[in-house]
Amino acid sequence: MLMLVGGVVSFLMIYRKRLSEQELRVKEMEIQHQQDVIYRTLDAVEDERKRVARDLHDEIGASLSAMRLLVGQLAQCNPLLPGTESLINRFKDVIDTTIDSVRRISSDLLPQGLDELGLTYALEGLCENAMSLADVSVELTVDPAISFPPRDNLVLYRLVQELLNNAIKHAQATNIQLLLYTHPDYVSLCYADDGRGFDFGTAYQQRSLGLKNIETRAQMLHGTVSFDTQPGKGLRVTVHIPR
Amino acid sequence: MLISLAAVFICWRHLIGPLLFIKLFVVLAVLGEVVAELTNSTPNLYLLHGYTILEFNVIALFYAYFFGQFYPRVLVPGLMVLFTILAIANSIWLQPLSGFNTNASGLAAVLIIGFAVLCFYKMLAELASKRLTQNPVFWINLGLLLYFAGSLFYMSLGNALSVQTNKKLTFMVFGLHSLLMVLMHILLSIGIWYSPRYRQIYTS
Repeated sequence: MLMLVGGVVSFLMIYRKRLSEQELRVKEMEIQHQQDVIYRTLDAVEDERKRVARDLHDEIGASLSAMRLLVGQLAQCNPLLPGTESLINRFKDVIDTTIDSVRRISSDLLPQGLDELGLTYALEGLCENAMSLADVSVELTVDPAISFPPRDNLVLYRLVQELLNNAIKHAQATNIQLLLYTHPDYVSLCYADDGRGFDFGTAYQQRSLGLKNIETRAQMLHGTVSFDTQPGKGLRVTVHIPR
Repeated sequence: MLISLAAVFICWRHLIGPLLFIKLFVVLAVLGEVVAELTNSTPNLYLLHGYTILEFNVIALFYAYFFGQFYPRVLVPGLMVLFTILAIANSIWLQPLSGFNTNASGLAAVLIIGFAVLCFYKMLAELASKRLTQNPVFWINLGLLLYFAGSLFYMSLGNALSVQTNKKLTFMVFGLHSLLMVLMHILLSIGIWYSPRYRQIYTS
């Protein structure tokens, strides 16, 4: 009888253990599913960005170039009415500005050279772009040994893009340091700026979209992210990505 | 037994699916007891032979219903038919109606212990209940397992004692039987008490 009771107690314990394991498996599957959904959504967003960037470059860009050519031909027509030449020049300026805008938007949408020339090249482009847009100095140091799969490259690129955008748009930073280096077990991305900083607790409670994006992208790399900031004391972000 | 009968009447509507056969089992046990009491002035051991067959088949139906398609569908019905034939043959040729049918009871106990183990295995494999202690089948199965495992023990002990004719020990065996019976009916009552919860799961 004692053996039977012992057997039943063991059965109950095994049952609970297996139930916990099953619940854990279900939770893991749910997390995996959510991650898959995020991946698929981001893939779809990237595909759409590529399409829009290609259309902008190939169609709008080509049309604008043709327009620029036609306006140039218009200047060669005789006789020109008074004031027409200055109007043509203004046309040319507007078209040139629009072509630049289209190029910039297209370049923002599509990481230039990321697939072809690698992460370092793309990040350099991103930093140069940031410096050209605002009065900011960006110091980028990338360990040459760093190598990620293409999708992770893109995620890391977008993460840095988000950090730089925040620095320019909201933080009004003048100096930015970006350091990407490898450890035996993980890769570290260290970001530091001398911008306005912010109250992290308040921003996190308000579910700031920028912070959320950075966190989501770090999670997509199976990494961890830490923020160190205070109002008036800049922002430091460290991302650890397991190798 | 009265407690489990009361539980059956209170939860009558909720005893569906395999629990229907537990309702039948409790009613059968009470009827068996009443008939045994009414006929105890004359030798009535022949009733035990019939009761053993009925009891086994009702319990087997409970397990057959609960197992569903988890085990081969012919397993329980096949054993029911086999047991019934063997029990009848035993009563005709081996243990006459005027004596105890320990062979049939022993076989029934072994088979029910087997069903109980299979039942536990099915529960462990399916993990259908988040709170096992609120699952009526767990308590009912536990009650049946404890009772029939105990029965098997005292039956083998009883066989040895009948040779020695030790009255004191014989009374102890009957005491043990009563204790197991009480324990089984308490566990059945707990199971029946949880049947409304089972009904929710079963009908959802």
